[in-house]
Amino acid sequence: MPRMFDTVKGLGITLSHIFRKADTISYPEQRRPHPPRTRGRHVLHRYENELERCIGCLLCSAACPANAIFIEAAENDSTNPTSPGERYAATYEIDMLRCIFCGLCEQACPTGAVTLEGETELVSFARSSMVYTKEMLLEPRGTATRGSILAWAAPAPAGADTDLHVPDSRGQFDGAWTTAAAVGKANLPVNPSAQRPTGRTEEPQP
Amino acid sequence: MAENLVNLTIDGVPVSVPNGTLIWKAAQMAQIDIPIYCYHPKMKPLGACRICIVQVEGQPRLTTACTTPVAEGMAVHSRNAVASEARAAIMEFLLINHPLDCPICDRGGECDLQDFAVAYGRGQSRFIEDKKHAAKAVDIGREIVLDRERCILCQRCVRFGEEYAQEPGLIMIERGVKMEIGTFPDQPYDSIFSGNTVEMCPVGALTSKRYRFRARPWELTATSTICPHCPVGCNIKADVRLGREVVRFRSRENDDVDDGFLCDRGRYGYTFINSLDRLTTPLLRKDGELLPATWDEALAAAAQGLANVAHHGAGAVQTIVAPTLTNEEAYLLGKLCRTVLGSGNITAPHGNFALAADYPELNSAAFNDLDGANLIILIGANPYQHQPVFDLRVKKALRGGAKLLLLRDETSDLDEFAAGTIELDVSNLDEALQAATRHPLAANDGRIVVWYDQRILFANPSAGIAVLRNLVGQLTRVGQPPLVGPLVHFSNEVGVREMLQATRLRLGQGGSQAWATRSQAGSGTQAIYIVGTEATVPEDCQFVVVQDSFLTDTAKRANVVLPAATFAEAAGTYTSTEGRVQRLRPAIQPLPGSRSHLDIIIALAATLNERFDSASYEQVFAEIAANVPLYNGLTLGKLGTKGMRRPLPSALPASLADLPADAAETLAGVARLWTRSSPPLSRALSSSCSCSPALPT
Repeated sequence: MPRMFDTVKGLGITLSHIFRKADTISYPEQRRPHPPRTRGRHVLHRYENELERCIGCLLCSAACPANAIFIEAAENDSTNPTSPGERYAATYEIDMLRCIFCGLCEQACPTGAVTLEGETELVSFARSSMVYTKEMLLEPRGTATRGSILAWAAPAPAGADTDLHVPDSRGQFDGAWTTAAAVGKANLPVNPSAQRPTGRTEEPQP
Repeated sequence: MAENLVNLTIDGVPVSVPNGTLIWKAAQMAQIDIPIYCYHPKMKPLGACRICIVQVEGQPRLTTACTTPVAEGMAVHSRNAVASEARAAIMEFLLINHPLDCPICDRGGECDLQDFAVAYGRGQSRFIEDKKHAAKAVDIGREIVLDRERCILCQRCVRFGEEYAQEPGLIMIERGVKMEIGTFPDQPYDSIFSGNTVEMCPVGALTSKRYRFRARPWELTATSTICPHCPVGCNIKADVRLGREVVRFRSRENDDVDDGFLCDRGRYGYTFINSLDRLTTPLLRKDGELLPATWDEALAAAAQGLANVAHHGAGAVQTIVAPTLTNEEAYLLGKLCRTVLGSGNITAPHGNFALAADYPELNSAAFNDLDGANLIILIGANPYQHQPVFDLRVKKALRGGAKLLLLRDETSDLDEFAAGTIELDVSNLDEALQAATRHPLAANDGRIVVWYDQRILFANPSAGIAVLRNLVGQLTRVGQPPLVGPLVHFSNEVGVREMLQATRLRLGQGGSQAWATRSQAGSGTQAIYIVGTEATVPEDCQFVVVQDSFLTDTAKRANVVLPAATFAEAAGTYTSTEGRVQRLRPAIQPLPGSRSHLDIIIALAATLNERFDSASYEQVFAEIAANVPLYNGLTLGKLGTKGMRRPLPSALPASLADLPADAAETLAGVARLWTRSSPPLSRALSSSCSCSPALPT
């Protein structure tokens, strides 16, 4: 006899759920915000002076366990530079089908140029279009965000020096363009030739 | 021997080394690493950088291991507290003005400053002032860019130019904190040995224009191979980026050959490999136009065309072999001509020199014999132009006390080093050589080494060889004949000629007729098969097959063009001008669409219904070792990574009468075929390197 009541009990649970607020949302019309540390599609960042943060050092591709990043570096035109310093990434491609979104590239980057952001809807009908080029990854001119690197940065203890990239004990950066480029502090006025010291002697031009 | 040894201890390890050894070298022998920047094992010590600082018991102050010779009973400490503390302090000093732009520096990843900073440095600098800033990316020469900020003033580059190459170009400017590397005013550093300074720079201060920003060291895989650009056969490491692109050559030290240095021709002679102008598909002439074809079509057409004229006579098909092909390729080509084409009409546009099989006494010198020689006689040679690293070896021997006697008909950079000069008239060789034997310098009982340029035999090889043999007799002192060696101009001239000589002697006897020269060929040359070189093609020639990596002018005239791989994609052996057989190893796979010369020759033979027993270069080399007397007993294993000189026949030829039968043939070949306006090298250097395919997905 008690079994009959079991059925009623079960139906009661079902009924109670009908009136509860649903956990699901009607994606894609509705979307949930991603947590700030979500590792999705990469973004290449710029400085506020519109130069690219990426200096083509290939450390991200060296760190990449999936071999997803392909870079070819080239020498900057000093009068119209792409990035601060001498070197920039002429080609920067990430194969999103290979990428495992581990975030090691972001950790390896000395300048904070590449970060993994909240965009996770990476779909395509063709494999070839899943190779994201530099143009697709770069944030548009005029924007200069830091991305999820700020979300990942552990808060420094009170009183700690937060600017230890430049290896001097003051933790200060002395204004040299190339050093600045190499450590991601090249948010300098766009006229790098003015920032570059010149040699004391006249150089032969062969 | 025992009395010359000095006993000392380094970090408690007892070491016995010859008297006069530097502490650094003694530590190396005891497998104790002492870091160095300014010291270079091939040059005199300087003691500028102080990083090798060690403590010697009983001495009041620390001393540098690279400048201090060992002494009996010395107790050296390289890593006790005192030495380590001092070394960390030196490291801190060196890093004071170093920009630490490692992420964008070409050296980053293989930099001594990085490595030693990690191994011996403090980790944190106490320097709080602004760093010194100097010019970056200074264009100081054809191949080199200087970054003055990165420079730690070790002066290796300066000393290499002044001491080793004896061709000063880089200098130190100013003193103290203002000191920097520079060139003489308005004098770019354009030495042909300038690339060595990039390799020996312990930091990224000197970078190569061609390699600059092309790759990072961890992406590279190195293949141990040899340089194909001159007959010295310097050992190189070919660095390949991501398995596809050859991005640089580095020296692979072989003290018997190159002493650890390369010339810029060799070091930068790789860009053509990545050229976009490379042939990637066979071409077939249809209706007067060269059109792409499949390999099967092209091979069938080539085989058909060659077979069509083969019946015209033994000389109807002519084969022209580049002097840059490997021994295996030349051997198989000889075999193909003999057994398949039935034609002995095969030639290589090489110079004239006495073949080792016939004249061992004119091939007795090795590069190593230069060191310790009393007298070096160079006949008509200009090694700076043709065998640059040999030029370095001569200069090194001269520093070691040798005297140089130059027989010259043109000026060369060795003029200023010569103890005596004799004007040479190539058409009257005998007179100059007689003058050499009468020269006061020749009157010594020490070792005499003679190197002659192959061009002196150009006009009259048999007479020239006789004169040279006469010279050997006259310079024989105390029963010791002088060591003589030829200086040829192309990488494998020696090997190719020896292979062709051997295939004529061995393989030819079975199948077809005797060796036929063009003059004997009844109907003249009707078809030409040109492998890896350029040649003048007669107007009336019916059929031309060209096998090359580029669409050369010769290839444009061809009926069939077969795209061949370059030396970086081929395996085989080269025989250098001193007779050293060395292995060429493939750094990359053949460019898609092209095949190695060896594969093409085998495939062409197969299309002509001849299946060679040997299908790989290893097998061909075994065949060479069995069939070519000079190479008897050689195996690839014996050659190893550094190669070995092929043994010379001990028996001397009976008389001058048995000149090699192809001497006349060779001469005609050279006169007619030596039409290349420039050696392949200049083509190599002028081709731009712009090939950078994207990562396949």
